Amino acid sequence: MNGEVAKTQARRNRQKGSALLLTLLLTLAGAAILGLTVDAMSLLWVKSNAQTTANLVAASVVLELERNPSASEPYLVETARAAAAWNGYRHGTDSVAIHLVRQEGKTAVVVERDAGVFFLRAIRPQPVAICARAAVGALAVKAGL
Amino acid sequence: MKERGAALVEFAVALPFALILFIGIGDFSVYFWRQNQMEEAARLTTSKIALALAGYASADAEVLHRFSQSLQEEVRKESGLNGMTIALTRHYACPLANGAEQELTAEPTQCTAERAYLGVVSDDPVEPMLGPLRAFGFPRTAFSRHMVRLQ
Repeated sequence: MNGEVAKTQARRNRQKGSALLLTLLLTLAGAAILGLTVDAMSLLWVKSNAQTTANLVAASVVLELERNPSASEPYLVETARAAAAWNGYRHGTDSVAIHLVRQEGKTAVVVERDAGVFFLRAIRPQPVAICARAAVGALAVKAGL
Repeated sequence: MKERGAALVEFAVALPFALILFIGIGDFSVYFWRQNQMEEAARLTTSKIALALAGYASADAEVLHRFSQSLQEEVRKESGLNGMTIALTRHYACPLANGAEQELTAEPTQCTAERAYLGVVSDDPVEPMLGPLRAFGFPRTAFSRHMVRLQ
């Protein structure tokens, strides 16, 4: 009889706090998954922001080319970097880089930057590199230039 | 019976914290998603004005306001974001020797080769499910602010 009581007591002791522990573990797992979702949304936004900036910088270069068709490449790069700075992307600071690249006779604006992550840092300490590209030629065609 | 009650109490203690955490993270996730929508709205706006960008350099304030209003209606219809606002603003800048630019204000400034920029601003109010997040800096609006050089 005493043995039965002792067994029951031992079982009760084991079960004490189990719901709290289980809830805590599930909360941590849920928070990790949701945290990664926040990071993914944040990265998507940074990428989207960089893409809008690349599009507008390309439009700025197109307008400059329309006004001054003989503009030199360094001047166009300066124009692109000045326009990007107005959009919060200052070349050479905070890992931001603005380039004009030529490939097969076409010019494109490339906006690069590192994006910070919050929860993802636990499994990947390095920042994520974001790159957005907008073709100057395509915008010129779209704008009828 | 007692054990069941204890588990229930433990669950009841932990649940509010779990809910606050989940809803809070969900709120921030939704905020970033709305920010992304604002970026898309800005790109849509830009594609609509791309054809006549140079014309925005000479438009006066009233015309610019009217353009903003009509663009806002179009973008609202196409994006389905009925509460958002679109505003076009014009800014002037003076190029500096180091390649950077200084924004011109009403103060008279010696400037050669003045430059004009068009600001494309889209805003949409955001309301977190967890109201107290406002006290921790949760923003009031999702927004996108961009500039394109006109001249």
